[in-house]
Amino acid sequence: MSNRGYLISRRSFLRGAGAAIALPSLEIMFPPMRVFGQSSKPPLRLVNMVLGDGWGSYFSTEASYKNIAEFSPLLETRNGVSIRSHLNMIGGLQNVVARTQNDYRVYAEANGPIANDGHGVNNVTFFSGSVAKASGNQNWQIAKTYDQYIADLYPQMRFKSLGVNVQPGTQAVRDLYSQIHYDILFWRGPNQPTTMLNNPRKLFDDVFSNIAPASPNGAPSAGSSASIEAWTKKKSILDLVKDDLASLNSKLSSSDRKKMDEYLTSIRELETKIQGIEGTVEIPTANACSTPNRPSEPANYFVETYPARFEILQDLMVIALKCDLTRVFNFSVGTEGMEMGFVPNCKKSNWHDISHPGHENAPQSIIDLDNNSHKLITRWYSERFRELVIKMRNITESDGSSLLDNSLLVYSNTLHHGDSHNCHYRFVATAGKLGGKIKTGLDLDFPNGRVNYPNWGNCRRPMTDLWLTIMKSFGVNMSTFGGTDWLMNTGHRAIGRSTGVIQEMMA
Amino acid sequence: MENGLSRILQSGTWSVLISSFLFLTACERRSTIGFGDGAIEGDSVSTSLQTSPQGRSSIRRLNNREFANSLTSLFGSAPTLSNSDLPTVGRNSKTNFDTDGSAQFLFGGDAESYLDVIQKSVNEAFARGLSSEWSCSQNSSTTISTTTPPAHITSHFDEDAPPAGSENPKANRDFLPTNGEILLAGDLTPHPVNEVIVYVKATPADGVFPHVVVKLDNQTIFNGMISSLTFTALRISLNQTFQPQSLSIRFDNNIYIAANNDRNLWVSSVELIERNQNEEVLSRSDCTAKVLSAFLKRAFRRPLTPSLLQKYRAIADAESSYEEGLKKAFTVALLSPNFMFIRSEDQGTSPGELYQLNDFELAERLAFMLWGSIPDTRLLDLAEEGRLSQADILRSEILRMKRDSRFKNGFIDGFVRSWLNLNELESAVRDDATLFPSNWRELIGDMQNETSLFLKYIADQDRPFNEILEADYSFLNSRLRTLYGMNSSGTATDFVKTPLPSQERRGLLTQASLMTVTGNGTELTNPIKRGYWLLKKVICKVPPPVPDEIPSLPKPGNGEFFSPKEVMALHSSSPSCAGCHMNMDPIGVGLENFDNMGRFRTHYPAVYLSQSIDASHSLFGSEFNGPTSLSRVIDENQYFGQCLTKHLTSYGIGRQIEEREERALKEILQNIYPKQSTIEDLLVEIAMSQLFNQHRMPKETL
Repeated sequence: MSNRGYLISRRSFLRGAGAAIALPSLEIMFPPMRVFGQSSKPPLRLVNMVLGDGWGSYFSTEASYKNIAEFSPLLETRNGVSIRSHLNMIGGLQNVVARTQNDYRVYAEANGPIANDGHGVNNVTFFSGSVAKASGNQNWQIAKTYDQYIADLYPQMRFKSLGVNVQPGTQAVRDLYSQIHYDILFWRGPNQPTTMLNNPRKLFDDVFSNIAPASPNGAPSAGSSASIEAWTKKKSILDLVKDDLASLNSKLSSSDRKKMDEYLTSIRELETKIQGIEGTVEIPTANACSTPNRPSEPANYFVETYPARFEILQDLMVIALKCDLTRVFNFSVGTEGMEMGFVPNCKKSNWHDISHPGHENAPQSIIDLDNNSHKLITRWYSERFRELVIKMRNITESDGSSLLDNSLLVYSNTLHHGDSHNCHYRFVATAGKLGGKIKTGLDLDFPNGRVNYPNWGNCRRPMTDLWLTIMKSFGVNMSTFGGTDWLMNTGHRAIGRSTGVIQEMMA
Repeated sequence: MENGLSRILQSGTWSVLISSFLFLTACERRSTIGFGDGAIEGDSVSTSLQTSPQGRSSIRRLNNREFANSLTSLFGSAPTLSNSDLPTVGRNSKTNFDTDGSAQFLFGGDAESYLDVIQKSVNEAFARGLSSEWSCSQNSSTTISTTTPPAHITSHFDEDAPPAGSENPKANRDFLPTNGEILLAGDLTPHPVNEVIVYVKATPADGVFPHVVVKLDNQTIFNGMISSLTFTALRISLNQTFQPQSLSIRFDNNIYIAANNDRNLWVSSVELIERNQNEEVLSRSDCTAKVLSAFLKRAFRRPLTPSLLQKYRAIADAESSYEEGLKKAFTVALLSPNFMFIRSEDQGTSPGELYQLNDFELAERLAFMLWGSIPDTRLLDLAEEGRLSQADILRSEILRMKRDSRFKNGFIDGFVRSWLNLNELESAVRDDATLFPSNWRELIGDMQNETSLFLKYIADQDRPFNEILEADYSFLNSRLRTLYGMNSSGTATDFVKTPLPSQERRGLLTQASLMTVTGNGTELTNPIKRGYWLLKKVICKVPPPVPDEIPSLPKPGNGEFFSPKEVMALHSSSPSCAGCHMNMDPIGVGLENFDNMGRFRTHYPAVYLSQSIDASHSLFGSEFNGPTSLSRVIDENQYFGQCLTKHLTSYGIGRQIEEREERALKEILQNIYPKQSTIEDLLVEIAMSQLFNQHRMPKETL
């Protein structure tokens, strides 16, 4: 258990239905988040848990999710526990804009910028519903992804959104893209990636540190003023640095100035965060919340340490949501073109190779090994999603509902069939009722033919319909999502744009 | 040509050669970075820049390596950083160099990460004692680091060695885990000494701190306990003046009880001071100004304008004490873009105009290329005098910088590791006893060491750089000798220059690091991937991206399969494949004798029916058979020198070299190739080239 760090009584955590988190902890009194209105209704939260490279290549390219046995952890009843009634199984969506991205690749090549590839097209389009624009060498401008519109609803949160990428990729074969377009699936806007951490200690430090410990009687502690002083000192430094930025900017050309502006943005964001902390910490709070102790510095990415590392990251996510430090948490467990991934008992770790079983004309034994490895991966992560659902169901909120009831969890993969790279069929599972706004227990499998694009013919329901459904349920005021306005004259601008919310899901 | 393939080739596929020739043209045209031809054109080079516009290096942040090195350079000691302290900077995967700013990104929390690290480093630096460079005092002072010669640990005379594995038995120079003595010997200072400061920290055991005796020329000047857990200044005032020959620091009450109950001593540096009794006392404000003008000039590597100095003076003067004032000013300076960004202040007048970098910008570029750090005072002084760009001075400065210990960081840690993807070795190997030896974790470190030591040797010893391909030696420890099937003599810690088996290995291409990073991580090596990788890294003839429509090649019949060589024969039989594969495939074939971890083999593994390996092919019109003759063919065709120049230049100017700049690259080579040139020659030519020392105005106006 030594590599499990702080998770000594994890079992009581998992077992403790209805109880608060029972991790041994440093008692911490969180500064209260500003309360909206006087409603005592718990806040709404969004979780994206996403994989890449497809669910496998052992089924036919557009197979319904119903034919994929490895989703069984989502459906099975074990020891009397089933999560099925909390889920929606949604098949037959299409990342149709990936195809436009691919066409744009041809268009772009003819016009200079560098090309795209079979994995990149899915990465950059999946959550944005838009074609990423190439501007110069490798600088792909990914449009704002749907989760960030939701994050924008809560500007006062300590973290507008948080992100984890459990196993960032390697660059060995990545010629066409900058690494970041593989590692980061969620973007605040072009050139503005969201932060995706993979180190549990760093995640802990970023999210849970700098919060004053509570005194034993639960009142705000005296320690907080020292902490405020440190923040104030930081803020005074930022002011002085901004001066230097301004005087330097006047000597730079506009393209260089953009880089400097990004730096300034980063400094301003830190200022905003400090102002938030200064403004809230003195107010007494009833919303006491426990955090775990600081996890140990993680070992390298090895098979033997991976499950524990994964679990710590997942637990930190649940606690951050429970404590209402953020409303949006994105959790990538491996993205397109993974050169290295870990799953216990899996004989092969190069996910991308596995997703092309038996490439280079290997014998059947190798093809079988690859396919079986991919089955293990899909099953293992489906188990983890099941665990996440159960953990969140077991946490009770102020009004007696569960954390799961007030959340929407999205379990997806940017590809479906790993070998074909096609954009046709996608499967997504959701969990949670989002405070009663989303129905659960549904089985949806949309047929081909929802939309018909000139030159392309029939397509399935676009992914963006699901994203729009979720955004509207949170209260984002948008009537459509996706599509690519800057492709004005190419006939592609509407492709991938939402066609309407998924009514079946709306409560 | 056994198995299924012979059947396919019987059906009149010999027109293959002609069609692949035709397709070569199309492929070459799409290729963005290859050298057009092997020959160097000597004429018309001088006018080339007028006709081929030069690219532009964009402004960029220091990468994490440079950031840490620069702090080390300013404060004399490395900041204590863990992997997660600094943000992900992002690197362009096309060049893979951390000096290429085109793919740098900033995340929301990055400013905070930088600020935290800077505050911590500044506090550490003040706790250790600022180097005399940032001292206001007019006293003479000499600081001697105990981590570099002439310091050495004479002995660990106490042999109560802790249990194996509990501590590193081999002490670092500045770390005494067991009883021992650090001795600084020889003429220590150019001046007399009447005060000594030793920077130390300690861990207690059983509630007792380390006991230390400090002697100057065998006279005890300190005898007592060290009780600070962080680095602190132990100030020893002397009642007489020495001109010391030696200084020793002895730790004599070591005990080891458990890993967390272990009495240890660290010593980072020693300062020998001659305190001038009649020193004129400067005011706090004057002292601040003196220190800041020196510090800011180094940190910003630019002449300091009076208004900027005034701003930082005001920052310092507003604080409660001299020390707090400097801390705050240093912190602001290090977070300032003046420190954080490498940039050129556009000096041209019209958009797109090429202009010469000024001497300060040249110093900056040189220092980050060769040292991965900010320029030192000497470079800045030369820049201030306007002399750095003079050819003879530039050359002698490059030689000086190459001999400096920081060169290892710029050349090996910065250039070589990214060029050859050495950091990715770990992801090429994993725990699977059927595929890799169980000590693979040690081996990948060994491989990185081998390649680093080898290339460091080529550079340090001024060996001709084509020896990189053709050397009949390498630097091996016992584990690598075993991996290479040689007599496993020696130890795991000593890397010894060792002759290579002449039929199996020669030069860089046959080193285990490269063969593992391209080894495909399975029992089936992939010669196409290997060939592609080497084309990119060593030959710089990069095929275009994989086409959208990959034609389907014949599949093997049931129970049959194609060996790698047969798959490649299929490539050359398909016109749309041949154009790109004709260079990629042969290189991979020539290295098929190396398995996924660079072990030499003559037969494929059992999944390939243990077929014998045929490593013969032809490349650029020359036949070869096996890895050693492949290396020879590549060397003889001169592509390697061109390619090395291209990567090194790209690293130095922090951007991809564009196709239209190939003439400028050839200009670099024309003075030295094909003579027996060294890395040093190459560095000098690069630094004097227009690609390196000119900058282009952006197309848009200010």
